[in-house]
Amino acid sequence: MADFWQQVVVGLATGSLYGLMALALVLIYRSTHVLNFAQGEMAMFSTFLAWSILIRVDNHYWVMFPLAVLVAAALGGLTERVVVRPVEGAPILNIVIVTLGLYAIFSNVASWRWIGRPKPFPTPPEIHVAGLKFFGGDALHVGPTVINYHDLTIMVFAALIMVALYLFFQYTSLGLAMRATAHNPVASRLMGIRVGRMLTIGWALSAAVGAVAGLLIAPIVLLTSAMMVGALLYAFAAAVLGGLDSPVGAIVGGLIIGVSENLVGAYTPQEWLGPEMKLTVTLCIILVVLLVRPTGIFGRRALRRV
Amino acid sequence: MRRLAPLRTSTVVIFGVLAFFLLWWIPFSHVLPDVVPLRFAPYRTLEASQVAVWVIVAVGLNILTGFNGQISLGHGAFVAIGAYTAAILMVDHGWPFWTTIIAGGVLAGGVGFLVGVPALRLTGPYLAMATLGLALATPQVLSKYEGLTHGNQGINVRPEVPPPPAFIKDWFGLSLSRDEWMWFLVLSIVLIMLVLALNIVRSRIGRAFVAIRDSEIAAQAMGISVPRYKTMAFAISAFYAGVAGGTYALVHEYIAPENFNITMSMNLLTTIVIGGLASILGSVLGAIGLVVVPELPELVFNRIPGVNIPVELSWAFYGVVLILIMIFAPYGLAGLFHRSVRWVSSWTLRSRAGILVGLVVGVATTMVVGFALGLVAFLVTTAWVWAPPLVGVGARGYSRWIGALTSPLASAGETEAGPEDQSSQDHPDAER
Amino acid sequence: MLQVRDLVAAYGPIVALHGVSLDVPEGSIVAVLGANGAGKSSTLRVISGLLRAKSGSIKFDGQRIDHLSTEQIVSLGMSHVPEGRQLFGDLTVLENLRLGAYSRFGQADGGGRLAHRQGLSLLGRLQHDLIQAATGGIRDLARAVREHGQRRRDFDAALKQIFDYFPILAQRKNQVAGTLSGGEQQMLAIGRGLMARPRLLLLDEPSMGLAPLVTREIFEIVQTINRTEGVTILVVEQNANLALEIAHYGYVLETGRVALADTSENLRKSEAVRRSYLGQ
Repeated sequence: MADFWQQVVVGLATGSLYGLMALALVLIYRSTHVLNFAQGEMAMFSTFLAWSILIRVDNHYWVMFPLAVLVAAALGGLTERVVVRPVEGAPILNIVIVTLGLYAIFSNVASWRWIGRPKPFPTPPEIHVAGLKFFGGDALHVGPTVINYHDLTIMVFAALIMVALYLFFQYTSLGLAMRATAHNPVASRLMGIRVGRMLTIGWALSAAVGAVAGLLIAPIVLLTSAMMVGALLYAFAAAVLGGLDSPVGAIVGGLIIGVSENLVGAYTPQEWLGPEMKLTVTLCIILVVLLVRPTGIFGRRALRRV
Repeated sequence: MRRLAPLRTSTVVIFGVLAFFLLWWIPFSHVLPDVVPLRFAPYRTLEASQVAVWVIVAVGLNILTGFNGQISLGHGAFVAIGAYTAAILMVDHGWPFWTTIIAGGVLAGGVGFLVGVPALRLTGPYLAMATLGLALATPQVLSKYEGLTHGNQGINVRPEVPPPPAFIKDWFGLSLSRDEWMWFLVLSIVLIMLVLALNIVRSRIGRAFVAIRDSEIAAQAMGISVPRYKTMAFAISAFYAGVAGGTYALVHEYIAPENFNITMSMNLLTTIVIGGLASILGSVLGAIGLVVVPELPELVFNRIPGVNIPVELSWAFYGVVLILIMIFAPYGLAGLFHRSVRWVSSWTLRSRAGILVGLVVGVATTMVVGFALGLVAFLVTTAWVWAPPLVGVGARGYSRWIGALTSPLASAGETEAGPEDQSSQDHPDAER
Repeated sequence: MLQVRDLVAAYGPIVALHGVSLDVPEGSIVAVLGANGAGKSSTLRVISGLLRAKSGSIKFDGQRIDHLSTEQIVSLGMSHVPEGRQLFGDLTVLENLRLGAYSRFGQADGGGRLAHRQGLSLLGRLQHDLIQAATGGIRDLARAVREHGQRRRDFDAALKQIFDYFPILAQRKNQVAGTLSGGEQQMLAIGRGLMARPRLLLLDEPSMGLAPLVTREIFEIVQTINRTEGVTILVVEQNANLALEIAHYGYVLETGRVALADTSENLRKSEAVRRSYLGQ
C-alpha cells in the first residue's frame, strides 16, 4: 500500500507539470480556438533564455525567476502580434500550421544557439521569509511515503498559479474582458474592448505559465532543445481530457494523466503491457472518456448554429 | 470556360507529369547525356520515390481532412499498418510484392473504418487529439509486440520485384538500375491512386463528403447519411495510407517502429495544408514542397561564397516559409496556382469572339502549364544532381526533419535525448 | 450630434448601402424603418465601425469617425446594442453589465490621444504607438489605482440607475445571461449599452422575437431614458408603428437608399408609409 501511495504522489507531481502546460494551452485555446503546437518549444526557448539570464545574474535564482517569466511573456505576446495576428480569422488548420512553423523555428534556433551538451538546471533554492524556510531542504516524509522536495515545489507552484489565474479572471476587469473576448469577440468590440490586445495578453500569459513549467521541468530532464516535446504531448492529452476551454479541467486532466500513467506503469502485467505501454494505456483511457464526454470532463458542450 | 480551368488542373498535373516523363526519358537521354546529367543520382531517385509515397498518403488524408472536414493527426498509424502488413507478408510469408501492397491497403482501410466509427462522436480538436493518440501509440505498440513486428530491430524488406520488361531496353536502349525501375513502379502506383482519387472526389461520394464538411445538418436534410459517409471517408483515407505504407516498405527496404512516429503524422497534415486543402493537386505540390523547402538554403544560399547556413537554421527557415505561405497563400500552393490560372484565363477569354482562340490557347496552356509544372517539379528534384553529393545529405528531406524530433517522441517523455543524439536517428538508409 | 453623408458600404461584392445620408439631432429619437435587407442594420454597423464604409462620411460631435475602430468610437460616447442582442451568454448578468462599463474605465482619454495621433506624421505615429505600447499598460494601471474609489462610485451609480429602469435585472444579477427570457435579454442588452453612459445609443431591432406587450414595455423605457437622461437614440425597427410613436424623426430605407425622411408625425400621415409599413 505504501508503494501505491508513493506512485500516486510521484504521479501527482508529474501530473502538475502536465497540468501547467495544459493550462498554457487552454489559455490560448479559449481565446483563439487554436491548439498551439509551439507551446512546448516556447517554454523550452524561455527556459534557455532563463539559463542565459541566470549566468548573467551570478546564479541568483530568485532574481532570474521573475525576469525569465517576464521575458517569456514578452516573447509570447510578440509571437502573437507578429506571427499569429496576420492569420487571425483564417481556417483553424492554417493557424495550426503556423504554430507548427513556430515549432520548427523555436526548436531549431534554440539548438543552433545553445548547441552542446544537455545543461543541468538548478531547482529553486531555499529562501527564508520571516523566519520560515521555503523550497529546498530534504524530502518530506508522510508516514511511509516520501515526497521529494522538488515534487512538492511543483505541486505548490501549480496550485498557486491556478489560484492566481482564477482570481485574475474572476475579479479583475482585464480578466473579465479576456473572458468576454473568448465568448464573443464582436460584442466585446462593441463594449470598447480591444480584442487584439486581449489576444496578445492571452498569449503572453500562456507563455509565462509555460515558462514556469519549463523552469520546473528543466532540473528533472536536463536543459535540451527537446526537453518539452514529451511534456507537450501529455499536456495536449490533459487539456483535451479536462475540456479545452476549462483551466480547472487542464490541471485536473494533468493530475489524472500523471497518476494513471504511473499506476499503469507499476501495476499492469509486464509481459504484454507494463511501463513501455503506459502511454498507450493512458491514451486508451482518454479515448474512452472522450467517447462518453466528447468535449472533455469540464468542457462546455459546443452549441451548433444551423 | 472559366470554370473549366480550375477543374482541370489536377488532370493537367497528371498528364503533365506523364508527358514530361515520356519526353524526358525517350528522346533526351540519347541526345543530351553528356551536356546535362539527366540521370538521377541513385539516392535522388530514392528521394523521388519517397516523395511519391508521400503524395499517396497526402491525397488520402486530403480526402478525409480537406474534403470531409475531419482532422486526423494519426495517419502515420495507418501508414504503419500498411507498411507492416506488406513487410510481414513479403518477408515472413513470401507473398508477391503487389499483393502485399493491396493487402496493406485493405487492412489499413478496415482499421480506418473501425476508427471512423468512434470518431463520429468527436469533432475538431477532440478528434485531432484522439487521432494524435493513435499516432503516439503506434511506435510503442510496434516495438512491444515483437513476435509479430520484429520489434525495435525492424524488418528488412528485400522484395523480389520482377525485372524491367525487355521492351524498355530493346526500344529505348535504357538499362534501368533497380532504383530507377522502382521509381517507375512507384510512379505508376501514384498515377493509379491519383486517378482513383479524382474519380472519388468528383463523384456522388465526393460531393457527399463536401456537403457534410460544409454543414452536417444541411447534408442530413438532403438525405445524405452522415455516419455512413464519414466512416467511408475514414476508410478510403486509411486505404490510401495503407497502400502508401506498402509502397514505403518497398522503397525503403527497411522499416522500424520509429519511422512511424508522430512527426510523420504532423508532416502529413502540414503537407496538405501547405499544398491546399480539398485539392488533389495541392497534395502533390505540398509533398514536393515539404521536401524541397528545407533544402533550399543548402541548394541556393550556401552556393554563395562565404555564406554557410547551419542545418538548424535551414530548418528554422522552413518554419518561416510555412508561416509565410499561411499568411500570403491561405489556400496553399494549389490556391496560388488556381488563382493565377483563373487570372490568366479571364484575361485571354474575355471576349466572346476569342472563345475559339481561347479554346486552342486553353488546351495549349493546359499542356504547357502541365508540362511546365512537371518540369519544375522534377527540375527541382534534379537540381540536386548538380549539387556535389555531400556526405550524408541523401534523403535528408525527411530524415533530418524526422530525426530532429524522433528521439524524444519515440519515448514520449520517458527519457529525454540530448541534441547530439538526434543525428544518429536518421534513416538507416540515409547514406545508402 | 451625428451626421451621416452618402454612405456606401458592401459585404464583399454585395453592396448594402448606396449612399445613405441621415442626421440625428442631439436629444432626439430617430427611427430607421424599412423591410428586410433594406440596409438598416448595415447602417448601424457602419456607424459603430463594425463594417467599413467604402465612401461617405460620418461625423459624431463634429469629429470624423469613419476611419476609427469600433473600440475607439465606443469610447467617444456611443453605444451600439446590436441585432440579436449579442449578450455574453456564459457570463452572469452583473458581469455583462460590468463589461458594458468597460469602455469608460478601460482606456480613458481614448479620444484625446487619438486626436493627437492623427496630427502626427507617419514616423511620428509609429513613435507614438511604440511609446503607447510600452507605457500604456503602466499608465492605465496607475490611473486605475488612483481613480479606484471614484470609478467604484461611478459604477455603482450607473448600476443603480439600470436596476431602476429594469428591476428584473437586479433580481437576476447573478444568473447566467443565456438563461434569461427573450425580453429580459433585451433589457440586459440595453442596460449593458447604457452602462457606458453613452450620449448616443444605437438600438438594432429591440423588438426582435419578443411578445407585443414586452416590446411595448421596452419602447416605453427607451422613451423615458431619452427624456430623463437626455440620451440621443437612433433606433432601427421593423415595427414601424411603435417606432414612430416614440420617435421624433424617421427615415425609411429601401434597398440601401433613403426613400423617405421626415418628422415621425408626417411619416405616420404619409400615404406610402401607411400602406407599406403600417399596414393601414
